[in-house]
Amino acid sequence: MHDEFSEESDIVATVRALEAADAMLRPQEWPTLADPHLREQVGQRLQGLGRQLLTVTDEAAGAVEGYLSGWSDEAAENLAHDPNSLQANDLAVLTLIYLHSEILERILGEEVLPVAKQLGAHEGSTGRDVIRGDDLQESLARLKAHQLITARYKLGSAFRRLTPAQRQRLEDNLVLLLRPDSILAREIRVARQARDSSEERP
Amino acid sequence: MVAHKDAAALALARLRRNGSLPAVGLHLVEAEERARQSGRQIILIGGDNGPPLAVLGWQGTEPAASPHPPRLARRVLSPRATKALVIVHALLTDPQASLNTVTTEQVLTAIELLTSKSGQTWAIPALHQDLPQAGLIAPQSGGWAPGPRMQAWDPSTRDVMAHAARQLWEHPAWPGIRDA
Repeated sequence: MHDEFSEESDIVATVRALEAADAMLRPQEWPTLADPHLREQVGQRLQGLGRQLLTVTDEAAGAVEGYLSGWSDEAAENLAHDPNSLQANDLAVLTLIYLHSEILERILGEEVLPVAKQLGAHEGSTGRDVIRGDDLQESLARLKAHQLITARYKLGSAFRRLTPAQRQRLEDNLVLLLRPDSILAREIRVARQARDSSEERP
Repeated sequence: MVAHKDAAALALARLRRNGSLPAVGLHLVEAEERARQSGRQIILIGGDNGPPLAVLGWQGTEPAASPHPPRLARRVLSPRATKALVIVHALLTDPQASLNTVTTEQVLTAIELLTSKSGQTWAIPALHQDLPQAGLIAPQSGGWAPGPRMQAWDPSTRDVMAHAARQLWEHPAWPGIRDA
């Protein structure tokens, strides 16, 4: 017999677990996530909290490994403007770590200096250190606390909680940073302006 | 910035992100209903020296970590932060002392009396980084007061911490702050 009470308590237990979890939940162990109908309801509950259900897939085989929750796209964009969010220095440090450890080292396979050395050596256009001393250490501590980086200055587990739209925005930002005068960068800027204009219209 | 079409969802997202927020203007009725549907609850704290703060807590007991199926990994405090938290909580709740805040020096003194060792290397990072970032303590009047998450602990967490505090108060080396 279809047991609505049991179904409801399973949905709530799964949402609670997703919101508390530090790692993905496997559908083999959380049957609510294995059932498309119940999984849909879990996703709806998360949307009501400004969150979103994320599917973690095996990069090579494309098979579903598990599920996580992360910020919904709307909430993420609003939270990014929150004054309690990360500071400009933190974002600059995170950008350097992303560039060195993810793009240059992992994706392009280049041999790079350890990230800690890169951070110490990085100079801005004026030839001076961009972030130094205590400021750098405080930024690194904040990024670790948000699980954006690991103790070894690699990308942290928070990056697994990006939605496809958030990941695309990150890649677009990288194009704007590294190739600001390219055709692609221009297209990204035009698309963003068009989107902002359409959202401002009543 | 996009205008969020669902104000209650954004309020709950901001609560989760910030740890606590002034309850005024939070769309509390709708947000509480959403929280309830997901096994969460909004807890109102403080209010003595200002408007009440809202904290996003759990209905009943927090989901517990489980190493066995169905596995659930939880983020935990480091051992150094846990030790510092137990001592701060015991100092704040010591009925003989009646402290609203504790200073870093009082925490370090307690550690030295209890262990005969300095706790500077591990307690200071815990007090200045780990515990405030977790919302467990908050800076106030040059010391540390209970943070929003400590004030919103569920009953079983309160019991565990109260038990730990009683053990410390009964320790012969527990500092007599009331005499200081």
